[in-house]
Amino acid sequence: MSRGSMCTELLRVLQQFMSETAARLVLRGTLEPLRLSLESVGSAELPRVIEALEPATRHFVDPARRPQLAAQLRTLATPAASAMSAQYPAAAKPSPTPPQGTPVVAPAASAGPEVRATTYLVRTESDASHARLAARMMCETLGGRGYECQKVATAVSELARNQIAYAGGGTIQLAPEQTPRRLLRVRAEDQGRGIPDLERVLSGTYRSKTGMGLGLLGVKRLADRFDVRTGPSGTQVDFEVWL
Amino acid sequence: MSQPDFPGASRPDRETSRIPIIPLWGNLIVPLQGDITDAQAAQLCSDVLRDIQRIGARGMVVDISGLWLVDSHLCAVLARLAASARLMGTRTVLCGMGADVALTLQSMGIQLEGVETALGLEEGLALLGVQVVGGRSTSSEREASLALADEMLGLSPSPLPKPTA
Repeated sequence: MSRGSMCTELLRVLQQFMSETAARLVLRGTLEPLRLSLESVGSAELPRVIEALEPATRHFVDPARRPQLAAQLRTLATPAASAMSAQYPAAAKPSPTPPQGTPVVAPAASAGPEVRATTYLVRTESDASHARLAARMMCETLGGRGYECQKVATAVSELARNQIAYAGGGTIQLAPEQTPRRLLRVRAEDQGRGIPDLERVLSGTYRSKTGMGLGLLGVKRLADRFDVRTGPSGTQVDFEVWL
Repeated sequence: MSQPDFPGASRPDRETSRIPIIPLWGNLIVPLQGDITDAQAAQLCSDVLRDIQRIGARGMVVDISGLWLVDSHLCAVLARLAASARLMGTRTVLCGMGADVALTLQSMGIQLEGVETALGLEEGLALLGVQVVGGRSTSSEREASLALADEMLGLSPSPLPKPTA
């Protein structure tokens, strides 16, 4: 495909999803930061143009039709990419939804990538922030829905906050399980002095000075299974969310 | 600064980590985004209360649509901020809470009592008495944006037959 005609092709695809004006605007807005012009786009530039088009088209395309647009754009890149794959192997980058006809690299796409149990050391606030983001990502990888991922991440946030505030830090282990049912288990352990008044904390009558006193009780309410063991040598909280 | 070795080093960091507080028609808009640290939250409270006093804001809208996680601590901070603002005579409206966040907080038993809530920024401002005058319909807005886009591209008003959208 000659240079210039590549852009005509891109416009043709974009116009199926938005008005001509919007298509031109989007394409021009995408090419400019890439320092490309309508004439200079060839098949070598196509992959990165398509990659940049994805966020640029977001405001113009109905969310439900976005995968369709992405697939159509990729079919533009595919013949070009295979013709020059030796020179440009990155063009055939694996993507979550491969275009039809392309062999899927992962053997069992439905099972998702393998997720292993991971332990996070929590000492500072940024550790806690890292742990809760990791919890959410793991939950999403396992195929959890929005609310489930939100529950896991919020629980990890509460547990990590308690560890930092009351025990000088601890560890948080995220362990996925597939059988007998799909779930994500969180185990928060610390070597602090324990929770002196666990009964009262879990009954909801406790008010902490800094918060609402709902951290641990909140975690319990979010859990599908919840267990606390606490003593003068440390605390261990087990928390499960079924996916 | 307590670090004389790097007097300039810590400052830009503090500035970029500061949450914007936007004065708008006598109210304040506070958009929260991403991952808010405890330090940022504490800084936010004092900054907002100072700005309320400085500009004499009658109300404020705290928009949390950009937060992916809201836990009990952040709720406590927001509730305290709203309560302090109320003591100063300023109404606080919390808006933009996502469905998953709302479900999670509800499950945890966090009510955020004493904080008014609204669906989005528009509704939040409306609660504070900001009225839209001469509002446009979505279709006329769409046409206007297309016309603006045409103008930016240097296209004449309608050189080609418009595709049926």
